[in-house]
Amino acid sequence: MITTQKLKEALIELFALEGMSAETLQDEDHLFGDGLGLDSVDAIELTIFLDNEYGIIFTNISESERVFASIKTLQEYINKHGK
Amino acid sequence: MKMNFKILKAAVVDAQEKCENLDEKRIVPKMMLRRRLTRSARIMVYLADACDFSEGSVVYGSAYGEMQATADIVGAIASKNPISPTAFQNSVYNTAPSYFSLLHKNKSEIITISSGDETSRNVLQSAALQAIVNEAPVLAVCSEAINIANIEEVNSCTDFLESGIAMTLEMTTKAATLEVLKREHKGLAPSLWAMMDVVVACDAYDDAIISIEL
Repeated sequence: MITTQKLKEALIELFALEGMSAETLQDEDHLFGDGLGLDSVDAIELTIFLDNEYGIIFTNISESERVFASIKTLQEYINKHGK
Repeated sequence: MKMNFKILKAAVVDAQEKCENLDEKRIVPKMMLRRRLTRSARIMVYLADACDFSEGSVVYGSAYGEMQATADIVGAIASKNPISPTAFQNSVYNTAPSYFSLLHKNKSEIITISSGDETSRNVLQSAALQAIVNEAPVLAVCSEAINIANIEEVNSCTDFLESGIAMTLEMTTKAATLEVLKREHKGLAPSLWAMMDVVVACDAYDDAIISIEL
């Protein structure tokens, strides 16, 4: 199980989000666009992170799009499918 | 053939381990761009800023390139892990001037040169040619950032694991005001020596004009 706090900390470290903290991020914040502001390179980085850390491999893009919608959807998916 | 060039500005930075105070937050205010900058890119944009240069042709040089990103890729391969896309995009030799162009929305051409110890000599010569072609100031910049894990096991060329040198130059018909002497700059990576020769020569002159063999 990963808490939203731990996931936020992991995302901040993974993406070097200088000036952000787990406390300033909301569970519903979008990962891309107007949320954290991540981009397509980050999406691949996140995919690799999920594979390395939780053994999660996406088989179709629409599934990853849904999972990557927000911090909360990502946390729920990790806790349901992660090893 | 020799032609004369005025050195408008010059800047040097070096550190035994890591250059501090590169003023990244002011120079690169957008965190989402700043977070991706490699050490060479941070040094390069700092030097460009010190030379008051944000638009125009850039000739960039590095003998060793993006060492950390390259080491990250090699490490991932060795441990059979996937390669980070960030490391991949940051591993090319023109990473630093590309970030510079993104930062300043600079659409002028970039030339990147890597030719071992002759790197800064060739950068200077290429910048001189660009200055003639464009009839505008050109930024010549070289940097080396080799501060990676275990570098002390192989490094025998420099005391400074991070270093960089930059100058802006433009063509002039005026006579040369100084002579550039070839020197040995002990401790500094030899790839930067030729441009350091120019900086040392310029130190004593307000109106520094040098001759460059083209």
